[in-house]
Amino acid sequence: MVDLTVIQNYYRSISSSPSHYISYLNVFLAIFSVYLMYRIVFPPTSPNGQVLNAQQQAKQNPQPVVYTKFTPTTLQPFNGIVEERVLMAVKGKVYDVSAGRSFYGPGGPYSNFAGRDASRGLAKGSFDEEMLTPIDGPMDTLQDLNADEIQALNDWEQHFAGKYLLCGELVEQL
Amino acid sequence: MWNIPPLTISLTGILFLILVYRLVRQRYPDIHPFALYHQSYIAPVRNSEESAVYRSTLTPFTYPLISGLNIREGHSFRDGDLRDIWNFAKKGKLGFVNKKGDPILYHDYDIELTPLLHTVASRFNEYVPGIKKIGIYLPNSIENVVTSFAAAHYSMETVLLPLVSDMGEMSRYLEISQPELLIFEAGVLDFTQLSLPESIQCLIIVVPSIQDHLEWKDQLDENVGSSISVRTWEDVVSSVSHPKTVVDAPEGALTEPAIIVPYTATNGKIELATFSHRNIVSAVATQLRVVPKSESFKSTDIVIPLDSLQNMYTRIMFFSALTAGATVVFCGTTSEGFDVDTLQTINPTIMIVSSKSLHHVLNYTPGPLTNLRLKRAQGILASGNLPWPVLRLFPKLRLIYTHYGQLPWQRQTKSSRANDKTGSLTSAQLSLLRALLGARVVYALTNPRIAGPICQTHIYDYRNLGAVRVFGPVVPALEAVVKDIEHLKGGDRQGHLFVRGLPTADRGWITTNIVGEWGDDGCFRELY
Repeated sequence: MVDLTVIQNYYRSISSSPSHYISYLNVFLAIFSVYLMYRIVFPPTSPNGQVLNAQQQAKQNPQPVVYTKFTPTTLQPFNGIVEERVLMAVKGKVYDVSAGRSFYGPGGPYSNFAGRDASRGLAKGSFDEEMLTPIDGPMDTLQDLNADEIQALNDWEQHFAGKYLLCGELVEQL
Repeated sequence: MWNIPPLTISLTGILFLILVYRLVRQRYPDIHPFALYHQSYIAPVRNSEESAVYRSTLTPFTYPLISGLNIREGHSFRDGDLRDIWNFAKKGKLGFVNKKGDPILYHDYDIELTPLLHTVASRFNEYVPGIKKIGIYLPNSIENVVTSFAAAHYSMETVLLPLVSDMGEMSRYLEISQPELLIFEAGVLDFTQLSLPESIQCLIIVVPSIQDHLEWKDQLDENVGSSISVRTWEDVVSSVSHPKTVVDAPEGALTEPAIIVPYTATNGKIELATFSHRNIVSAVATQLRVVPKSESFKSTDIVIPLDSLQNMYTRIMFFSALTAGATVVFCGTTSEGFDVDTLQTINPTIMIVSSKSLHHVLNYTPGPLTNLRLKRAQGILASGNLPWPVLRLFPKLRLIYTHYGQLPWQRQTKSSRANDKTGSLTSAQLSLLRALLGARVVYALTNPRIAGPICQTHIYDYRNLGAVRVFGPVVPALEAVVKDIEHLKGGDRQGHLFVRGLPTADRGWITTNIVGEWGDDGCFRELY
């Protein structure tokens, strides 16, 4: 039989002394140093946190919207209430004005124009309901505008083209 | 008082030193990872049945795509043409190594090559009055370069004939391109099997100087009809003294054809791609812009085109090196091989090499010690830095340009992708090349109808994305979309690649016969 008491006594002596903790600390320090040195010689081949972060961000890129032909009927839901996006037609071109939601969205001063052909209203500088072309009627040809109104409309068009995304066109029928 | 044992103190000291070392030697990656995952600008609106338009981050939407060399002339800038490239090249040297162990033979532009160029052009005009098209079937050599630039200076078109050994195929290339004069190396064309088109009026044979050129000439005279005159390169350059006054080159329009490349399309048909000066300068300017100035071709560089100059990609890269005033050295060895001994005597800084040749490097089997060094190198690459080369083959090599012309059509299984014999390189293989050679690798996707690459790897992109072929973002001279094809949807960013821009041989959106997808990172890649 092996006499275990010698070993037991040894462990008892080191666990009761303060150097017990020191020796654990030494082991930890040694292992940590060796690990750090290993990592200096052989950097990890797996992507680091910064790379993973960039990878995650790239996945969240916004999806491009499809350039669409709208009729007055299919455009109407895009007023910020039925559909989340706010669209608006100016001179046959449809702009996504969601970025200017406070103006064109529900409750905004121009909310009448959301989902509608805004050409006549912009030309005449009026935001009233009667400026809008009826949904089921024929499209506004804008033939009766005078020179000043045409100028005003063209200025508005430039403003929209510079600020908002051109995402489609307004046609009578598909 | 604390009674800390000396062992603990020394261990803490060591740990502290290691931490300080890490802090001091900390290297930031060559490029921020965010930039590697946003390599393209993507249009916010797309058409149905196709993806949004992708552009390089160097040419955002509303900015013009790269059109030319931007040469300053007084207060205005112009795009330039091939003659301007020749003028830029005069800053550098053109060298040639004949065979293994020979010293590099340098040729001076002003004293030797430019007069030679004018002589060649006037001799060609003498042999074939009013000559318009010159067929070149030469390896990478001084004759090849001088002939093509002579053509460019005198409004002639150069036909770059692919270096094929099948004479039937060669006959078809000649038939479709209709050159009036053919210049070729002795012993490579078999005139008993080759049928020459009627347009050919003159043959010029380039004979290695050691051999008797008369012998070659007599042999040729027997095989070709009497209506065709046969000359040697020696006749061209030495029979008449150099013209005293340099002929003023006619003012060529940028849209004039300069280089014509016959090729076999994927459907087996033989087609012609005609590149104008404009196509070429826009592709060359792109290569000088797409890589940061500090990494691009420089006048201190020694560039070796290992792939054939008959190939449009290699030629555009060669022109880019010339434009930057770099020293270009040709080696007499074949393009497929990778003759390490000859390359070591040249000690290049930049190599333009076919992906097939690079497989020679990849086939290297490492020993246990190199395996450890390879592990270290791959770790350094993963942290975004370039390691020291594991194989110390070329101590000064810093950049490798390589390309691939197709992308397999159908979705492939993992095993068929691993056994691919076409010479294409996967992301993992490119990463291994970077580690083995300690050089940056720019891998390009090409098409016979486009001068230079369509897409190419970002020079600082060392990511190892596994066994998939990744080609990087579209170059800043082009914009690209993928369109629906079969079950692939452009809306899912998968499909048939179409590009538009100045380096294309045709106007408008052109088809590339390449099928792939746009990754989240904005890189074009093979479909998983």
